[in-house]
Amino acid sequence: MLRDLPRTHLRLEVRHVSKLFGTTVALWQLDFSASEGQFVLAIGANGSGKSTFLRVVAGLTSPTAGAVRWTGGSAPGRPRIAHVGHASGLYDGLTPFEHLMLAARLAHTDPMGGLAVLERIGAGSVAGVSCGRLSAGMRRRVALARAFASGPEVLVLDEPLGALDDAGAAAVLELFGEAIRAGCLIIAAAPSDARLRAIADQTLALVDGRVLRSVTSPSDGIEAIDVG
Amino acid sequence: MLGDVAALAMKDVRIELRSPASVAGALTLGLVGLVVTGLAAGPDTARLRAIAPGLAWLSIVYAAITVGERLDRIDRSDDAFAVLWLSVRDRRAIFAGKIMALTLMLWTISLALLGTAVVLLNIDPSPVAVALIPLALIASIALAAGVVVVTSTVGGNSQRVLLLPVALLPLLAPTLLAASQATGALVAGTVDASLPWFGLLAAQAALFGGLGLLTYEHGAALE
Repeated sequence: MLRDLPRTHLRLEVRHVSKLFGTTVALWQLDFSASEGQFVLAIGANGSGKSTFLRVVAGLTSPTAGAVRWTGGSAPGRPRIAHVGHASGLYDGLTPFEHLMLAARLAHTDPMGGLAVLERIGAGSVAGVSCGRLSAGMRRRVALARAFASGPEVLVLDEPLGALDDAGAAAVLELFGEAIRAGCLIIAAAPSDARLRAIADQTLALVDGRVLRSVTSPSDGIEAIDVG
Repeated sequence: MLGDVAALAMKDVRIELRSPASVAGALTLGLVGLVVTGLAAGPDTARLRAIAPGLAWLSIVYAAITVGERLDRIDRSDDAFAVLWLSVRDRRAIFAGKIMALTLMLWTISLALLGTAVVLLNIDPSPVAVALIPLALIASIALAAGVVVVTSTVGGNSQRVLLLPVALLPLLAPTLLAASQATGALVAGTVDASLPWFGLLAAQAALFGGLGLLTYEHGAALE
């Protein structure tokens, strides 16, 4: 069971955000807002701007125009954000155990929490193995466990169930539910995943960097949009 | 913040210890350079003493660039740097941690190379060795700070292999000069003559370190 986060009225406001790479439009006039304890899902085909959207929200990429504003949270201006992108962000020369220890040390959280998550998502047996020797699925599990180990207020996840088998995906979805109930805001992106859409409070359908449609319930008929 | 700095530095040191490609490579090249130069110079000890400090420190500057570039490249592979960027409350800890890790590695390399030079040149090590240890430390900090400032600014640029030496060699030339002159003065037994060079090295370390601490959060290239 994940520990409850202190309620800080954390809120994200994204206003008129655009991101251009040269003449290529990755995001265009994006608007949305979200609060603690919500699950926001961005869906769209490859190249629709999902990963850029996540990096802008996480503060890893500056928007060309518009603003990303955080209010509330444990510290002014920037909440504790954990990001798991397409790449795992792991060091081949370190073990999962060492990654979890480092994450907990930097976040000043209990390192045993990350180890418990690693066990729950089926990667406890590889805690002492160098990450360079792990499969893509195991690396994804370790990256997710590390994200939880840092006790984040916001989880930003790119295709979080990618490379996971059914058991791993089920364990991760269960963790998402606990994190949301604990007050964590989760923002994820995936091409189209019914399992994620089923738990999303808000779904943004991205096409060519634009939000084609935003719905606030899994049953609002977003299937009508062709997202590849 | 100090705890974060130490944790980040130990991460780099641990990775390097498990796969010591860059430190071992730089050390081997430096040792071979010293031995070959000694053989080429023949039995003229005075001539050797004149060129050995410069040669040793040139090898250490080369090591600073190659080891520093590798540390930065490891962080940027697999998007690990993005995780670090979001993990620390004060992002200057990433900069300081990198300097601490690189300093430890360069200090090790420089003590090994300078110790080898002392043996090769048949110098009485007792008075010199004591002063070479702090000299190597201060010069390693100055080199590490200069390298980390530039590698973090250049970031993942596709031309970094070309850009880094071009940007770093002029920047590190005063450090190379000061360290070589201080070492030469110590080898000659004139400790007093080495003191101004110690001061110059300390000033360079403070300048590069201060510049990095002031600019890192805005200057570090993420995209």
